[in-house]
Amino acid sequence: MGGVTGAPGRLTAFIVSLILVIIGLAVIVYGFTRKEVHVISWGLLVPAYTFFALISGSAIILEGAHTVLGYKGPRGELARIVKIGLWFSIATAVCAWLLIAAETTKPWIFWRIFTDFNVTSRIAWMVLLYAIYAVIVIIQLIVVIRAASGSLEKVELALAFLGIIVAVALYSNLAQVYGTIAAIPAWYGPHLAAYFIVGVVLLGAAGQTLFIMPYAWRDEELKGFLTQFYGRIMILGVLILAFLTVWNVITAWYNPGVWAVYSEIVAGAYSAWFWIIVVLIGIIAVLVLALYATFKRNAPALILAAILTLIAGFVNLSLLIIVSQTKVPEVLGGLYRLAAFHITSWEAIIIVGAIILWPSLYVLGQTLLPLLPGEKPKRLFIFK
Amino acid sequence: MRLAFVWDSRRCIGCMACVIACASANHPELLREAKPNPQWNWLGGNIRVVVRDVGGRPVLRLVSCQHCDNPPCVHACPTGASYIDERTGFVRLDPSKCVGCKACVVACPYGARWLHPVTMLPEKCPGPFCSEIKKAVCAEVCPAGARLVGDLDDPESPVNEVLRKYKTERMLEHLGTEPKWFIITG
Repeated sequence: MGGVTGAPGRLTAFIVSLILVIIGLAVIVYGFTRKEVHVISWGLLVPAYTFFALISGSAIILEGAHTVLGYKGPRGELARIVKIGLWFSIATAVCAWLLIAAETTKPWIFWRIFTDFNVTSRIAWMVLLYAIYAVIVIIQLIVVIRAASGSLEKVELALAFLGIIVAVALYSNLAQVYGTIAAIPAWYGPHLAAYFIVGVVLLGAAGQTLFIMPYAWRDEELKGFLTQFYGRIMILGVLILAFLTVWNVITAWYNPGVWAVYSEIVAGAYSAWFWIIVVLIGIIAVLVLALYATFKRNAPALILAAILTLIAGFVNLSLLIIVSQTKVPEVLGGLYRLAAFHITSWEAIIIVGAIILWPSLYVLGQTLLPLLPGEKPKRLFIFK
Repeated sequence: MRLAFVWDSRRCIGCMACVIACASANHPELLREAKPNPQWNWLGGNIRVVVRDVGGRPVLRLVSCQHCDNPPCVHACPTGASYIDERTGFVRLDPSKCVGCKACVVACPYGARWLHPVTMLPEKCPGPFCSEIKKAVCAEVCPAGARLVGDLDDPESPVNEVLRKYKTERMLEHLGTEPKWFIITG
């Protein structure tokens, strides 16, 4: 860790990450300027936004286990990763916001969602709840950084409770953005809410594993603890997700109208993605790897499980959101409107920009804020 | 006032005059530049043509905004850019408020909205020209008199007269959208 915390190494990390953040933003803006109308309304940027949004909810893992339930680990290991975990959520949320802003046609009038708030709109609530959630996580991070110089346990606890409540509302509502649209019957409100909350935990644990584990690599105790901590979460998460996936398929099967659309995912043109990426890799392989990693305390196996979880999670969200728009019931019974989906170059460019931005912003934060174990604020209230 | 559309499927000869008139009056810029509506793979107008073969006989539906009393697009819109015009009962779109989230396009079960290939904002009936002249060009140009627009709240309006006289149906009524777009079927 000396390379990051030491002054010359920190300066290099700061400059490199800042340059990459600027490149990432420039790539996103460039992609936005090349936008064209898609055959379907919500293309790949919407699942990409949802993917990042779910991962950014990973703060609830730490809020829940560490602050609300008071589980610190046998040697206080969990307390050592709270700050970096909260920053990871914030950096991920920034990527999510940029993706959804790039998906809209006029992101510069986003403020109208607050001033002309439509209470019946799930998207309006999504924006409001996400803004509240982000403010809570930012305040939490400031409190945790400042708590290094004094006890703020009650404030932390209150914020953690509030954060979890807002997060459950946020992700249930985000599911309803898709789940309550009558025009697309393969989306189910009640199922999707549970699906998304489990998704937050599973994708969040995978994201934290990938981004936090490298800082524990040379600390055998911390590495072993995190391997078992995230491994157990991923085992539980993937089992619940498997159950919900089976539930979705069975429910769709018993509704002919829904099955006509949902069958495209499980038995139609997109079924290879579903069975190979979502089921074989995202559920079975991840479960086996997470079990192995947890019981053998094998960190590389967990990292592989985390990478596979993120890939399968992205594919799963893309299938749920995109395929349902490619086969839509028509005004005449029994007839369907069909649309072909293909990934456009501007979508790919914007997603590449977000992928560059994600780790760069995360590292940039670490060079400026005292997020690693033992670091304390020295300048401007919260800075190193 | 609650303006409603009536389309007499018995009178319609399928000449597509309404479809062409809608596109050329409301979006002449797209016709001039030969830019289609990519979402419908069709003309840049507000009327979508659906044809289904029933027992070897084609069944035609001309689909545009149903001006629902319970419109999913208005409920889905985060900024109120999609709204019900209290003066006419029509569902309208205020482009100055629209962020372009496309929730209305996805929410409409009729597929009556499309994205303008240049502005990338949703379009729907009534288009800018019809709004300006306060008339529906589709009804004005129909050579068979198959289209009517009138006030449901006025018992004397031609629409109510027709609704009293003939058997009508509304598309996807079971979804609870309460469309104000009637089809005379018999």
